[in-house]
Amino acid sequence: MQAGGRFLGSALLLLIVGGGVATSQSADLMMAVSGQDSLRVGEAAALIGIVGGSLPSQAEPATAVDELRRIGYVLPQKQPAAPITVGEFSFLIIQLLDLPAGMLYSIFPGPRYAVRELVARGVLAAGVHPGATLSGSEALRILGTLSRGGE
Amino acid sequence: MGRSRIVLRALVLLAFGLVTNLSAHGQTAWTFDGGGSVSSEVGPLPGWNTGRVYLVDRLDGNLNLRQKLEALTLDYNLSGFFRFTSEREITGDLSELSAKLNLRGFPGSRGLFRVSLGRIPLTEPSGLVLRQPGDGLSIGASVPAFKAELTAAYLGFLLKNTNNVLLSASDVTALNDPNVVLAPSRAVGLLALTFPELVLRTDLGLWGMYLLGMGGSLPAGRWYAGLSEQGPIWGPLSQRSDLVTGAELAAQLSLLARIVLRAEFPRVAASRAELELLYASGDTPSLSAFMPLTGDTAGVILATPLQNLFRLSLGYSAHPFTNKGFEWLQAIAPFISSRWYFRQSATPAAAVPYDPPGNYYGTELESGLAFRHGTDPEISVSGGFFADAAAAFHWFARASVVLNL
Repeated sequence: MQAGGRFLGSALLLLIVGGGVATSQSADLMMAVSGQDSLRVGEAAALIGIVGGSLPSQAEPATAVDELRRIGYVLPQKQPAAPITVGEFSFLIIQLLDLPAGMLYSIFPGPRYAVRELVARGVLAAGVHPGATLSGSEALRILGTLSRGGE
Repeated sequence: MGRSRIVLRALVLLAFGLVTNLSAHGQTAWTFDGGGSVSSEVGPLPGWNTGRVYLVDRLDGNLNLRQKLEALTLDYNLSGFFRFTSEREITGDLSELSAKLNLRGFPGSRGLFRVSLGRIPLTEPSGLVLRQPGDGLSIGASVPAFKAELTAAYLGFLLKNTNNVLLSASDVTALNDPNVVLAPSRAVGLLALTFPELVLRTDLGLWGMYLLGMGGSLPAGRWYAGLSEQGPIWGPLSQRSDLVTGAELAAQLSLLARIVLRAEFPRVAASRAELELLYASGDTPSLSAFMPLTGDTAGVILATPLQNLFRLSLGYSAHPFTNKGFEWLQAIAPFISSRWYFRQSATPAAAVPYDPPGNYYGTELESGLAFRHGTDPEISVSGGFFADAAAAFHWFARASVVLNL
């Protein structure tokens, strides 16, 4: 599982290097995240913030949450070291990657319909629970799929 | 803890529903999800030349409680529906009320062991014969080389309108009797084996099913057996074929065969074309009429079961606005399909009082637009005609809206 996660981390890193945003810090972050059983809020915020361009490539997990809140994004009311759920991760993706979303998400923006959006794009499997935690390798797989254009 | 002990313990917990015991374990994680959908469908009233519009509204709801304990996942599912039609038919039932256990890493490190207990969805691998819920137990195991699933279920606790299994005149009589509430007393046993990517990345499925009549007036039993395979051919081309045979005990065989060829072109407006050949035997000297249980019909106007029929279908759909900026425009998919129908024997089609002079029933053409985008309502609008053997045109239009909440 961890070896697979590192592979995904490397694959995503290659995609991002192609876009010219990777630095040694962001590479370190992805490698660290790829081996984790539960992704943390700060790591998710830094990772998606870097991929989406809202944060500089040297952003740190400890400060990423506050930095994104300051810009105006809605983040989970949790400590940066707390595990993030699939729903919270999906909500961050829709916001920070500025993905167009459907009617129900527009009326009720939040984790529940963010998950439905990513399921509809084929990025998440149907039946996934918004309240479940996700591993670092799963998070990198999701971001990798989105980097390739979803579906 | 040994894997066999984990399996035994999980089975005991599942059987007795000792949900609270699991929460004593430190690494147990509970999650909850629920949802539903509201759908409306309008189209021609099933039947030949009724000239009436048929409206169906449906509400579906589901609740799912999931408990994770290391490699073990337990799901508790509750789902049901209400359905209202413009003909004042009101039906509703539980679609699922079950506990499901999934154990990763058994058998073998890459295996998955599954048990489902309660009201569970029943379907065989082709999806052409049985597709409805039943009350029972399903046990399955999969490893990379194959997947096996054994299911036993009772159909007699379903409400009679939810049940698709109508095999005898007494079934139909019971369906129309206001004093009868439940479905006929039948049991079903199903064994399905799947071999993923067996040869040339082609999946192979084998299955057998036995339907047992448990009431005095019901036919004693009926069996089905099937073979399915699907896989890529070359480049954008893929194929699927199904062969199903079935019969009452000591009766003549019936046969259903289907071949589907698909071509997908993701870079050409995300287009997709499909050719399907379907054969379902009728009453002939060598074969008996095939008896499907799903309730699917051959076409919109020719609303006959898949029985005594040869159908050739061609379909094409595309997303022509893939590079036009607005993502919702990209979700619009025009489609067109055509179906040609022939019968196998001179017996008139079931449920349709249309008896053409030869074996050619007619041709149906349908075209429309489908829209599916994220959490937007799914919309489909289409229209077409059925040109019968005497070249008389029977026009139709239909539309559906589904909102997944």
